[in-house]
Amino acid sequence: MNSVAHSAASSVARALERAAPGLAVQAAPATLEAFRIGSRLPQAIAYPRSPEQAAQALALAHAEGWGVVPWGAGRDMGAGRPPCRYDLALSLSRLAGILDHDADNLTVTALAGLSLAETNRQLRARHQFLALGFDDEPQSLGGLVAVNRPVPRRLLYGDVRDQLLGLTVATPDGRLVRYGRKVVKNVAGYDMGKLYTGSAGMLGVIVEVTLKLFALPDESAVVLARFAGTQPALAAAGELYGSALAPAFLILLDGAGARACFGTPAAASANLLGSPGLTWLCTGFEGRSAGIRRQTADAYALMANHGGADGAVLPGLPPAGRRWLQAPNVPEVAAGDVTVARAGVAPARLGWLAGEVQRLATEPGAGRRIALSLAADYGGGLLRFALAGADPLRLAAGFEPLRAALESERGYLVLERAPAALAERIGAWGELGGEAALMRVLRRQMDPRNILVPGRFL
Amino acid sequence: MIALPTRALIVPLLREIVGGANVLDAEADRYVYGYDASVYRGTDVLAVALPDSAQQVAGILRLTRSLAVPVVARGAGTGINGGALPQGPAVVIALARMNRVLKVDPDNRLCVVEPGVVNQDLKEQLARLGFGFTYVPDPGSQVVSTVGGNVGNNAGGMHCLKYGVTANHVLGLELVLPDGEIVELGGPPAGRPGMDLTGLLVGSEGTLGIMTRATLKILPLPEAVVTQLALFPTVADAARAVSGIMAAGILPAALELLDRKAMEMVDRHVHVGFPDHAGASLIIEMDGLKDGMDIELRRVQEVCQANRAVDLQTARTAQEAQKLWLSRRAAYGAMARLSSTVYVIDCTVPRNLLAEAIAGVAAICGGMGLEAVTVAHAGDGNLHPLIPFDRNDPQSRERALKAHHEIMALCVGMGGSITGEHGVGVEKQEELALMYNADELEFMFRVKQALDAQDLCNPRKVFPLRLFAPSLPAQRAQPA
Repeated sequence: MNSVAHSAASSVARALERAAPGLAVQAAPATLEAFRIGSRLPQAIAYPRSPEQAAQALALAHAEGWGVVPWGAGRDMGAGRPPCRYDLALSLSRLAGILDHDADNLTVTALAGLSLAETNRQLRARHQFLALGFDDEPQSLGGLVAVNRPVPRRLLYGDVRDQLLGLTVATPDGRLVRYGRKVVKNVAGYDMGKLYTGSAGMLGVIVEVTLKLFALPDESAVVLARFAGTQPALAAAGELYGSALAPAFLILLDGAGARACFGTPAAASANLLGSPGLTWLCTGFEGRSAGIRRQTADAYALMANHGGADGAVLPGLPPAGRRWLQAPNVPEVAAGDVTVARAGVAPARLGWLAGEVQRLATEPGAGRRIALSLAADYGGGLLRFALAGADPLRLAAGFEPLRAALESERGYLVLERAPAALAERIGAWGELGGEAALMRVLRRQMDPRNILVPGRFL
Repeated sequence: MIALPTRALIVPLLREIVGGANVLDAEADRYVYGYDASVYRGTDVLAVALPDSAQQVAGILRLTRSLAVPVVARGAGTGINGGALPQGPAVVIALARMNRVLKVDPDNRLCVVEPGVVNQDLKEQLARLGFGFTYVPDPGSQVVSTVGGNVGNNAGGMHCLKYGVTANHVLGLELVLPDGEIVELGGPPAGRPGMDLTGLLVGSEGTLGIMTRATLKILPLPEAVVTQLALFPTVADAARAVSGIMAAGILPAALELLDRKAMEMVDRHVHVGFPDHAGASLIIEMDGLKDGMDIELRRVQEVCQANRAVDLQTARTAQEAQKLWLSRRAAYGAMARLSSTVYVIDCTVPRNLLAEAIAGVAAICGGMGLEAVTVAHAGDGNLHPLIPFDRNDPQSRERALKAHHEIMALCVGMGGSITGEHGVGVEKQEELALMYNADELEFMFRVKQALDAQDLCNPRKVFPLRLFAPSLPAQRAQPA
C-alpha cells in the first residue's frame, strides 16, 4: 500500500504508486521543500526500504526520462548547479541498517542510508569503528562514498578510496550490481568502487557499502601552537609531515578557526583576535599510550623550535573542533551568502594558495565587508575556506584564474557550498585539468538517458 | 595501391616513430615476446616497439589505430595471468626504455617515474638520495618487475596489510588513450572531486590506454622494524592467531604464512631448520615508532601462545630479520626445484576463513592427484597455492587448469575474490563470471566501451570472451 501523502499527488507520485507497490512516496509541499536544490523542487520523494525498491524507482524514472537526485543525509546538497531536470528525489533515509558486522574480519556491510554516527554507535560494542569522518555531523555512508570528501584523519586511516571494499549500486536503468567483496584485496577486473567513489550520484545510486574497520584507539591527543605567521606554521607542518611520527591529522587554522575549535585559552586569547593567516598548527595522534606520549612530546618540541607559542597538549579534539575540521565556517557572518570552497595543491604550495585566497578576499569589494576563514589539511594539500559578504560575480572573476592556476599543477578548486549565481557561473568542479571530459564519456556510457543528477556537476 | 602484409607495412612506420633500432621484428624477438611468466603462451607478434616518450607512445597508438591493429603494453613480463601476451596480430609496446625517475619530492612525499622503472631500482634510488623515504609496494617480483606492470595489475606484496596495494600509492597518472591523446589523471592533493579515474586505471591491465608516467606516494622509513617467526601445530592455529592479532587492534606491516608442505620444501632448499611438529609458520613484522613496540610485541606473543604457538623467534638485527624472511622469499625458488612448471594461484577470502580455504584447496588438489603447497599473505586473506605440474603432459595441464577453476569457485563461494594482486588477464577472464553476474559484467564492460570502444588496447582480456564482438580477429592465448 502506497502512502502518497498529499491529495493532489503529482503525476510522478502516481506513476510510482502504480509501478512500485509498497514504495513509500511523498508529494506534500512541505516535504518537497526539504528537498529543494536552489530554485528547484522535485515533484515527489521516494523512500525505498530495500535496494530492490530503489532499483524499481530508478527503472521507472529511466523509462519516463525523469531527472532523479539521490539524497542521503543532505549535508552536501549545496554543491553544484541546481539539476536541470528534477522530478524525483530518492531519499535513502529508510534504507538504513547494518547487514553484516564481521568483527574478526574487520569489515562492515551496511545499507547506504545508515548514518556514520549510528554505524559507529553499533560498532563500539566490539571496540571497532569506521574512520570515514567524525560522528558529529549528519552523514550517510553512501553519501560519504558518493561525495568523497577528504577524510579528516586521512593520514592515519586513509581516504574513502582506501577504506571502501565493496558496494552495491542501483544502476540508472534499475538493476542492482555489486562490486568488490569483504576482503582487503577486493578487486577483480576494473576497480568499480573507485569509479563510484566521488561520482556524486551520476553513475548510479549507492545502496549498500562494505567498509574496512579499525580498532578503537586506546587514547588520542592533540598538540597545538600559534606561530608568528603562515610561513613558520607551514614550516613546522612540513617537518612533522616528513618525520617518522604518524599524526592522524595535521591542520592549520586561522585565529578564528582556532577560537572556534578550541575556545579561547586565557593565555592565547589576546593573540587570537585579528590573526589573519594560517597561524595555528594543530596535530592529532591516536593509538597506544606509549606512542602518544612520545609523539605529543616530539611534536610539541618541534613546534617550539619553529617559534610556536601558546602551545598546548589536549586529550583529543573538542566537539567544536571535530565539527570545524569537517566543515570550516565563517565565524562572523557578514551580509550575503556564504561560499565554502576546497582547493587542492601539493602540500608545499599551501602557503602560496592561502596567500592567493586572502588576496581575493581583501580586494576592494564595492564597499562590502568580506569575512574569510581558512583551514588547511597539510598532508592532503587541502585548503578549505569560507567566505561571506562577497559579490558572487566578483568572486567568480577571482576564482576562475585561481582555478586555472591550480589545475595547471594538477590541483583543483571545488565549491562545496555556493550561492546560485557563483555556481552557475563557474560550476562546482571546473574541468579538472581535462579529467571532466573523460568523466562525461564514462557518464554517457553508464547513464545514456542522463537521468541522474542532470546538469549539476558535469 | 598494392596491399602490403600488415607487418611489412607497419614496421617501417613504427621505425619512423621510435627509430630503426627500437623496433624488433626478427623472428626470434617476435617469438620471445609471445611469452610471459604465466603458464600461457601468446601468438607470434607483428613487431615490438620500444618507445622513449609519451609522444612516441601516442604516435604508435595513432598509427595502430589508423590500421586497426591492436597493441599490448608490456613491462618486464613477470605477470602470471597472461596479460602481456598478444592474442593474434598485435604490436607489443615494450616500455623498458622509459625507465627514468623524473622527480623525487620529499617535501610533498611523492616521486614521478616512467613505467619502465624497476620497482627495486626505485627503492634503491630513493635510499641513495638519503631523504629517509621509500616507495612501499613490494611485489615478490620487485627485483625485476616494473612500476608500469605493478600499476597495470595493481600489484600487492608482503606489506599490503598495513600499507595497501599499489592503488593506495598512486596519486596520479599520465595516460595515452587508445586514440593517441595524452591525458593526465589525478595529482598530488587529496579530495579531488569527481570519479576516482586514477584509481579506476590502476589495475586496468593496459586495456584502457597506456600509462606513461606515474606520480607515486613515498613514505618516511619507519623508525623501528621487528620481525618475528612463529610456528604453530596447524594452519588453523596460525590462522586464528592472525585474526587474534588483528582483533587486538594490532596492525602488523606483514603477516606471511607457510603451510607444512611449503615449510618442508623451503627447508630442503635453504635449510631454515623447521621442526617436524610445526604445521604452519607465520612471519609477523611490525614497524613504526620505537615507543610502545615492546608492548605490541608482548601482545603478539600472547595471542600466538593462546593459539598454541610452539616456537616464537624474534629477530633483533637486520641480518636476523633477513634470515627469517628467507623462508618466505625462497618459496618460489624452492618450488622450481620441484617441477619445471609451477602454477602460482592467486585468490582471496575473508581473513578469518583462511584455514578453511587452505584446507579446501588441499581437498580440491588431492582429489585430482595434484600437490598443493600454500603460502599466504595471511593478514589480507590472500592465498597463493602453488601447484607443480608437467606442462608437456596435456592431462597434467588440464588437471592444473581445472584445479585453478575450482579453487576460484571455492574462494568466491567463501565471499572472496578471484584475484588478490595479480589481475585477471587471460587466465581468469572466464572466472570473472564466477564473481560477477551478467548485469555486473555489463556495467563493468561499459567502462571499456567508453574508453576503448574498438578494443585496440590489450584486446580480448579481463572480460569473458563472449562480451567481445565476435568479429574481432584474435586467437586466444593457450596453456603452454
